Amino acid sequence: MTIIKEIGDKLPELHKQVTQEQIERYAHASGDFNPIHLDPEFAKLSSFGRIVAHGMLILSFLSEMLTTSFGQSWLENGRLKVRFRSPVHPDDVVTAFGSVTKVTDTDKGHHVACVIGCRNQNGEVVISGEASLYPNSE
Amino acid sequence: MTRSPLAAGQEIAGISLRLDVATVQGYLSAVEESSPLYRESRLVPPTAIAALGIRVILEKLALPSGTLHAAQELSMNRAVAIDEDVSCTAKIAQCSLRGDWQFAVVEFTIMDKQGEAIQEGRTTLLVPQQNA
Repeated sequence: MTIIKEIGDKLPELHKQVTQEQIERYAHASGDFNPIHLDPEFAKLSSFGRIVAHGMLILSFLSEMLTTSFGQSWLENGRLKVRFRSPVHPDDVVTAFGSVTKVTDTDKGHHVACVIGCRNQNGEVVISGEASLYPNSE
Repeated sequence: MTRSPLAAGQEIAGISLRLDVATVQGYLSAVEESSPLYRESRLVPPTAIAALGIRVILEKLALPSGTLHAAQELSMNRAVAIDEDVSCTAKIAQCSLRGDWQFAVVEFTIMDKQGEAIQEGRTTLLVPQQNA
C-alpha cells in the first residue's frame, strides 16, 4: 500500500491495454452483453463507429489504483463520483491517475479527497471525477 | 423488443446477487486486478458488486441495446466477503428526454442479509429512443 498523506501526493498510476479479448471476458464476468461492446457490425452503426469497452471495466482500473493506494479502507468507506467522458476502444492504452486535493481532520479521523481519472494513449481524458475516504479507519 | 418507457419512481426490489468464488475470480481475471488484497483476504472488489448489481437492474428494466453508461457514483459502507448473501434494490430517481435519448438516473442499494446497506450507487444512463 502506498503512503498517501498530503495535498498534492500522486496516487500510483496504473497502465492497462484494453483488448477485445478482455472486453469479452468482462462481458462474461459481469453479464453485460450489450452488443456495442461485442458486435463490430452493431458498433459500426453506433455514434462511436466501433466497439466500445464497458465503462465499468475502465472504472475497475480506478478502483484498483485506489485499492493500491489506500488498501482495505477503500473497500470499507470509499466514495467515488465519475463521468464517462469518452469511449475506450479495443487496443487503447488507459492510464488511471489521481492526486490528493484535500486532507481534513474530522471526528472520524483524517478524510482524504482526491481528483481521479483515466486518459488514453493520446492524452484524452476518458473518465474524470473524484474519490474520498477515511484511510486506515478500522 | 417492445418495452415501457422508463419512469421516475419506478422501483426494482428483491434482486439477489451471487458473490461466490467463481464469480469473483472470473471478475478479477477479466479486469486483470493485480492487488493482492483480493487474493489474500477473500474480499470482493466494490466495482464487482456494483457491476453485478447494475447488470441485473438493466436486465429488469429491459433497456435496449446501445444503452450508454454516462456517469457513476459509489459509496462503500464496509468490505464484503466472498460468499456473503447480498441483495439489491433500485429506483429510477430521474428521467428526462434529450433529443433521441432518454436520460435516466438509477439509484441502488446493496444490502447484506441483515438488511444493512453495504454499498450505494447512482448510475446515469443514456437510453436510445429509436429502439424503444
